[in-house]
Amino acid sequence: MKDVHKTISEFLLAQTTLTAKVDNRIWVGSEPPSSYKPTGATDRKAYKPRDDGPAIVFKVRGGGLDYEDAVLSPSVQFKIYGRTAINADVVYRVLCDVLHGGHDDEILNGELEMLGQLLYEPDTDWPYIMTAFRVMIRNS
Amino acid sequence: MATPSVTSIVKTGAVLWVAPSGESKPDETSVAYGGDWGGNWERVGYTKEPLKMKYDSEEAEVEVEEELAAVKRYRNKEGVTLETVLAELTAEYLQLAASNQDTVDETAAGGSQKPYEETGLGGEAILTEKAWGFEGLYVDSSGNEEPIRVFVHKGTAMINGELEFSQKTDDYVGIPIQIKALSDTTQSAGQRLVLMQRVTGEASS
Repeated sequence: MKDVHKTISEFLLAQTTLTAKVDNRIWVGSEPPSSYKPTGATDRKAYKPRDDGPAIVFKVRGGGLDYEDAVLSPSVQFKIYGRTAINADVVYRVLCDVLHGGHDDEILNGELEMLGQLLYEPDTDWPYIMTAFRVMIRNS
Repeated sequence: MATPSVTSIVKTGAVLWVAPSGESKPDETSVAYGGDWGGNWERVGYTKEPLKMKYDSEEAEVEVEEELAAVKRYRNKEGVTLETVLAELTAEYLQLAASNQDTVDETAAGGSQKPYEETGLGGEAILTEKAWGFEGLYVDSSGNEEPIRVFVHKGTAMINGELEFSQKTDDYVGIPIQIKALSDTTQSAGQRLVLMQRVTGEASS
């Protein structure tokens, strides 16, 4: 079976309008790596504020295969972090532009499943936008 | 037909085009996916429901006393319809769906004059025949975007249901349109209703 996370990651990293915002800070998972800080939070080792810029984390939250196992249709959850809520929203809208209706030789189609919702991480108070897409992938 | 290929699995919407009957088809090589079809082809605007194509075939069967099942079957009637719902409520699209019964008169803005458009329905028996087509997307194994085009050489349109004006539903007004193909006797047998083209890759040089 095709690696869904790798396929989506490669697709997103090939979208220059998106990487112009997040560089290569696109990770698989529920949260960004522990070293990541989207705000001016102090780096405990360097004792200076850090702003790593906006980032995207995503993971499959459900979905399935078609009748012939030829097409994967995962439902994928995305969390878009930014220094501010507005900053995260800008990146969210770029993600929508590239993934909703997006396609390449492996992705048949991306479709926005859930409009973005502004939320805050309970532990860090980081703002992020949560959204979800249905992504149809050729299972080859 | 050969080994199953996931590349041939297609997921796409479709854009409707219309032209006067007899219009030349867009060139498969020079007119890229999403490009203007040129000539007198005009792109139809937003639609609010998927475009659906249906081929109907009525068949007659030859039965003989000595056999339980039919021994021969042949087609004695056929038809093709395209259906969608136009999302833009304008006089032009109302006329398009009604097979152009009336002209659309447009009055420009002026002093003490608001711009407006005006058109009518009723009392016209002749249906205007037009050429129709739609285009979807095929992505080949190299990731190239290529067109899938379906042409109805000649057909007429009809308003295919109710235009619903409601403040209380969560939907908006649309114009249901059905296009019914006519047999184009200038085409070869087997192609008189519809021609489908799928561009499968790039030119070799």
